[in-house]
Amino acid sequence: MSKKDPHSDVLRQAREVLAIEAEGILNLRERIGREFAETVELIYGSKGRVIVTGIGKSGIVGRKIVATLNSTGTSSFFLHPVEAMHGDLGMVLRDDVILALSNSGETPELVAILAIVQGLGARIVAMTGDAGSTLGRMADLVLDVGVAREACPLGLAPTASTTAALAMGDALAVALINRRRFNPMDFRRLHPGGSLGERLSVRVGEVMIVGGKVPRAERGASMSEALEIMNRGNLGVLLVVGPRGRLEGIFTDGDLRRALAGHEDVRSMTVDRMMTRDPIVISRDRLAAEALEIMQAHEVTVLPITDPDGRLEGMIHLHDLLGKGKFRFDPAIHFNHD
Amino acid sequence: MISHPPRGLIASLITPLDRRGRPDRDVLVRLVRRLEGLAAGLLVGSIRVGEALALTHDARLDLLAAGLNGCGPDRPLLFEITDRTAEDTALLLRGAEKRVEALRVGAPVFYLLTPLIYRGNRGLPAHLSELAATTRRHFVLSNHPDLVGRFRARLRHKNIRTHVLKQVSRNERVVGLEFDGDLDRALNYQRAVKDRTNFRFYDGDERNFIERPSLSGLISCGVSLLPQAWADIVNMSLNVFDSRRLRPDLMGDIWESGARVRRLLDLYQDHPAAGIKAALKMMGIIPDDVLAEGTPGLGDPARQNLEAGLAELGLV
Repeated sequence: MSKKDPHSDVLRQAREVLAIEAEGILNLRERIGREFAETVELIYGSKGRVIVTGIGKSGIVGRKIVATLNSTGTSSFFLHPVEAMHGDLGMVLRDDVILALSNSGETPELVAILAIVQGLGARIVAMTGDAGSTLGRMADLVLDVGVAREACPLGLAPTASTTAALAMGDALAVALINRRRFNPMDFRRLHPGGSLGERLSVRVGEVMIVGGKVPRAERGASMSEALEIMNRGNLGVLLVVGPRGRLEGIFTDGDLRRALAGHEDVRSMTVDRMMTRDPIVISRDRLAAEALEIMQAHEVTVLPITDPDGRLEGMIHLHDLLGKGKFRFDPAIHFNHD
Repeated sequence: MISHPPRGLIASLITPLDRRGRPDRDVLVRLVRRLEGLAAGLLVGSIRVGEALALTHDARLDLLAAGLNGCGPDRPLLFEITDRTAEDTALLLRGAEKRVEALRVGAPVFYLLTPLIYRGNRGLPAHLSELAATTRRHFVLSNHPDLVGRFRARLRHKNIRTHVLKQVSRNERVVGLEFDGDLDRALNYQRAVKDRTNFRFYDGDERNFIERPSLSGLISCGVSLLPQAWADIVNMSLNVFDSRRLRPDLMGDIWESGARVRRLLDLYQDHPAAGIKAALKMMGIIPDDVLAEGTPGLGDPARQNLEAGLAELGLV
């Protein structure tokens, strides 16, 4: 007689659970249609936020959907139905879209706040396992996340149904990514704790703009010459250096506006008359994060980098730190600028 | 007319018989009313726990009338029309139609049908279309390979075949399926009916429901013994996202209820009609546990086990 594998029951049960959960999602794939597409358009066209609400396990799923939407460019927050009844409903505006989660579609607290939300004029999207429920009937659009079967004995823990709701939330977020043409740079901007955070830990010297890419002019240069260099640099800034390359000042778009307002013949002047002397600088061995902090504290977008003798070595722009500029925050790319 | 049977717990009732073997309508009405507020719907005259194949058409139609009388205007009623031949099934359906129309009751009626008892898979969609042509009401199919095997041992396919179910599901008058079988088949069936949003997929096996609950619900005979426990378990399964907060101790109660219904299942599942009737009599809910002719009874050891189990659970 062959000996029974001691793990066979455990493995069979695990396979059954996975089969049920997979089936639940596959069935969603077949069922999504017009209302899903309309939900994407509704959120995309909305001037407000996506407010996700739900209670119990639906609330937990809702919070995950909020996180996914926010990290993929759709402004969203979670509203607890009970807190909503005690004042938080004031956060809901008429341009918002409410995404209400309830598997049964009969959660009393949820139904109660949605009646008020309707009065505010906000649109409601229901994510429910029962499209014919009270929630389903109240909603402008219904995303059916019903599954045929749960995988847990006695229904003690939601399994296939929570998986299905999470998957539908992901489907919504990804569809919105594509609808918004959300790009990797947008993603990086919204994830300061991720790759950007990592990059802010490098030294300024590793990421600064150097050489010919730094818009610079000699002290005594004419404004015509200075403006030409500024235009070429396309950064709205010009660094003015003196003998032996010592940084003497900075001339920005703002300085130019002030010069035009206060002087009739700006072009005949020299740049050192109009520049800001002794600009805020940073040294190459400081962290990029420190550079960002200095920029924020002084409300400037550019920092020149100087050596201990005050000689100009390079420049760093706020956009480089935030990943928004034409210069990606990538040391390899910056070194190529030389 | 309501076109979809309810989600949730459907109580499949025994057929109480008097000492002369005739259906006891008054007792049936009492059983129906006992489940008020707990079962979303009722099934009377089933060919399994209801022993309906041993009854005359008149007796079966009396069960239908008693069920309608007991369940009030809103609670859906399922009535099984399966007989030993297609002709007798059609005849019973016509009789049921007449009886329902004559009673002028408000309760929505659905017809339960286990077609493989009297015919094979071939031509099943057309057969259902023919039956549907004689009524405005809707049908719930029943798939029970073990039961079919008892009647038609030589039948090659004792389950409704998946592709046949897919064809059948295109008939809007077929609105649900009571399922007994393995999980792979259940998943295949669910895939076959995926285009029908509101198609109900009930578990017909209580143990399967406990382990992997169908979210349409359960057709249960054990509910007559432990109505509140089954109602809690089914409601928990169907509203699993939202119900837990209603009672902080609900999880513990559900575990306890699960243990109780499992214990009882062990005692009656081999002979559900005999086991449930005997238990109801021991509990003092029905006066007699007379079985229809041909229904296997409980042996003495099984009866003693049942009595001991009921005592252990505090039901007697």
